[in-house]
Amino acid sequence: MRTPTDTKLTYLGIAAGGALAVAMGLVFFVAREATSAMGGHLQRIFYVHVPSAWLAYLSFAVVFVCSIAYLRTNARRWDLLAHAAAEIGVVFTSLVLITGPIWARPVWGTWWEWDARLTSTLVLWLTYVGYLFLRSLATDPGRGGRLAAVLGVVGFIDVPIVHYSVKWWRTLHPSGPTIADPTASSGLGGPELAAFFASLVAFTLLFAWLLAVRVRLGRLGDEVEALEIERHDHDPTAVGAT
Amino acid sequence: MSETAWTVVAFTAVAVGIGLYLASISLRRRNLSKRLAQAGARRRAGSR
Repeated sequence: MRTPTDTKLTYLGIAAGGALAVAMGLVFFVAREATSAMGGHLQRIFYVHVPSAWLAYLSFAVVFVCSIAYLRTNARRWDLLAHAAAEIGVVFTSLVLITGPIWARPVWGTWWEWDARLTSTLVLWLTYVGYLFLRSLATDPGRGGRLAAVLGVVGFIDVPIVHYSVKWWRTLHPSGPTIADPTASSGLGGPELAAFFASLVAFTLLFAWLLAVRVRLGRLGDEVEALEIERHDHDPTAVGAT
Repeated sequence: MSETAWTVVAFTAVAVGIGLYLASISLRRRNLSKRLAQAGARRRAGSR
């Protein structure tokens, strides 16, 4: 039976999908091709690479805040949110680490350089992959959640390091544009800025929808676990009891 | 490979990545729903 929450989730999903379609239309049919120094047609990768990085930052910021809240209150909802956001953050950091080298190979002539931006992003990815492993391997979910929350708080230190690495160190990675200053070092005109902001909005809506869907999955998991534990308490010999 | 081909690869990778994540959520949800139904059925059978 559909609940009001299911309906809201459906509308959010439709909004995200629609926004993505509009953004991609702007990217491919409105934004002009960049100069050859920025990679020409390849520069369009920027319209998914930068929003993916934005989503990674946003996800890990949610992990940071919710991890602190969980450590303070021990309330399950914060733990659920943090776990969901960490998973989404790892997915989008993976996409950053995939789209970046795809752009770099033809432009720099190499898939990878151990420069500050790329290396710190890889460290970020490894940290939160570690977070997810910690959660999945913990035999005591409460203890695992608390340890992961500590990692979620500490790991967030790398986010500003990733972001400011292009300013603090000499890197191959292009230094602009950023979300705070989208025209910096970019040559982005009106149509390109429209495509860029449309992509950011679309990806943000996508994040909201994915987070809601993933949290709902987490709550379902809790419900199942509670029922199976209850059954085990009543009949420990039952087949299938956990 | 041409610039266009690389661009297509990148966008395809993003679409596939998001699609795979959604598929994993869907599979996990299906598995949990099955376990929920089984646990619920056993609970009802046990209470009779």
